[in-house]
Amino acid sequence: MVKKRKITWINILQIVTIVLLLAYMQYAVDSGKISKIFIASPKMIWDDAVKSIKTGVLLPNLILTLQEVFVGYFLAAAVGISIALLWTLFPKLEEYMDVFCQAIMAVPKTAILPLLILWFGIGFQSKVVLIFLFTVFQILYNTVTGAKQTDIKYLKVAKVFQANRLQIVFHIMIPAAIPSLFNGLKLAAATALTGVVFSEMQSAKGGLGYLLSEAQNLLNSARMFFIIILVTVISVLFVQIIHLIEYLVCHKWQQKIHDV
Amino acid sequence: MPAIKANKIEKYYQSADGEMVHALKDVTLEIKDGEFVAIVGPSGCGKSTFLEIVAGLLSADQGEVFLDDKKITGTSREIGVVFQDASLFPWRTIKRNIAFGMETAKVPKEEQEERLAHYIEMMNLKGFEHKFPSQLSGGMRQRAGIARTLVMNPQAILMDEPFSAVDHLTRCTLQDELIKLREAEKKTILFVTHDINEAVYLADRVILFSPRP
Ligand SMILES: Nc1ncnc2c1ncn2[C@@H]1O[C@H](COP(=O)(O)OP(=O)(O)OP(=O)(O)O)[C@@H](O)[C@H]1O
Ligand SMILES: [Mg+2]
Repeated sequence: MVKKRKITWINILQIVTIVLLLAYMQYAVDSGKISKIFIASPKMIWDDAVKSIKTGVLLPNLILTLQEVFVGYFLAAAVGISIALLWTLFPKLEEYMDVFCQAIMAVPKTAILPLLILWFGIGFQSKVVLIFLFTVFQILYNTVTGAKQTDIKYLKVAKVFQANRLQIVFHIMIPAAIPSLFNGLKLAAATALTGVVFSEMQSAKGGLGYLLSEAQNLLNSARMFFIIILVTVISVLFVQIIHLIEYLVCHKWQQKIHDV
Repeated sequence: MPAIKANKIEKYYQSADGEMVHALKDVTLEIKDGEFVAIVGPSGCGKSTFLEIVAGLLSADQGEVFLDDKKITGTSREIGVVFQDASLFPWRTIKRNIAFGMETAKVPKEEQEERLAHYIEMMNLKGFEHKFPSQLSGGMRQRAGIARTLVMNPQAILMDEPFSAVDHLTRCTLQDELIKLREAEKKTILFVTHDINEAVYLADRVILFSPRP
């Protein structure tokens, strides 16, 4: 149910606030009140954006980062969901694997970056592995927890109708876990980009994080602002895409609070 | 039709703080073939517990339940259960909810369709087959829950406060539908409610459970 939102006076106030803030930034930088090294004016950021696109600096790096994110993310989703399914089917397997997964999950991912670089180099592979490690457990544990929290009343219905283990898992526990599966996917989408940008800043031959650290070295604040804004927008879009998929999959049967 | 016999049932629960709750004490009850028995009692007196033991969902700590002369050790297709809030699966359409038992029993597709058509018609759910439970009223959900049980043609039906979640008028309609249904297909019915009027109106015999011992 998509409702048309009316533009209220609060919305107008919000827009005015943003415009004023941008105008002040422009004024403060132009008049030299704040050094260009610290803050770039909106105009400078815009010019730099146009320049980086025209000179062909942006596109290959953007594509590289997106590739790293998507490959890592989809690997994590595929593996996370598969393991969750196996654990739900075979609880003994979870009993056995859980402690290992918890241990790997507990390692701060940023701390193993040097090791990953040693093993996989500073290119594509180490980024993919890092994103995979960043996100796979969020997806796995959210899904498994969702399956475990299947409402007992549904399980009673299954029992009464003599459903076997396979039917219980596929017809009841997995559908019941879908909302938390998507929560995991959304959390992971938000972290995936953080992970890749961080690792590209540490060491890389390209990518948005690489552009960011390069700009930092050159004290190019306009470029830094531009990349930060770009990364934020991509991150939000990514989460929104997952949101949309979730909506398409389960809006028909999911009762939302605002629909009641 | 089968008779249900419960013999000296005792049930204890271990509550979270380690205390033992004596939920059922020495419950002996016989429901005759084709009889409609209602159990009435205050909240927490063990009605649901008893029903779940008869359904084979819970095991008694002592005593036993028989369906005809077979001891009940687990759920069976002979005993159907209608749950308090219908307990439909939100991710299945009404039709697929009603078909759930036939799917698990691997009933052939054509026969499924036939039986579905019959009970959807009977329970007045025509036109709502492809809706999801959240798109239906409470009364309709309840009827779908009943249809899901009837479509399996169990010999005995256990109902746990099936009409408690609907408004008074819907409730009256559902009650009359249940009476008609009972005349149409003679079944042994055990009906749990906390509404004594409902119990007297529907049942051949009313059994009163006393508050917790
Ligand atoms: N899983 C459980 N763990 C511990 N105690 C329980 C559990 N289930 C029920 N009980 C206790 O057993 C007693 C009987 O519960 P039961 O659900 O059978 O009551 P009821 O008669 O169906 O009540 P209501 O009319 O409210 O549904 C209650 O005191 C309840 O607190
Ligand atoms: Mg109850």
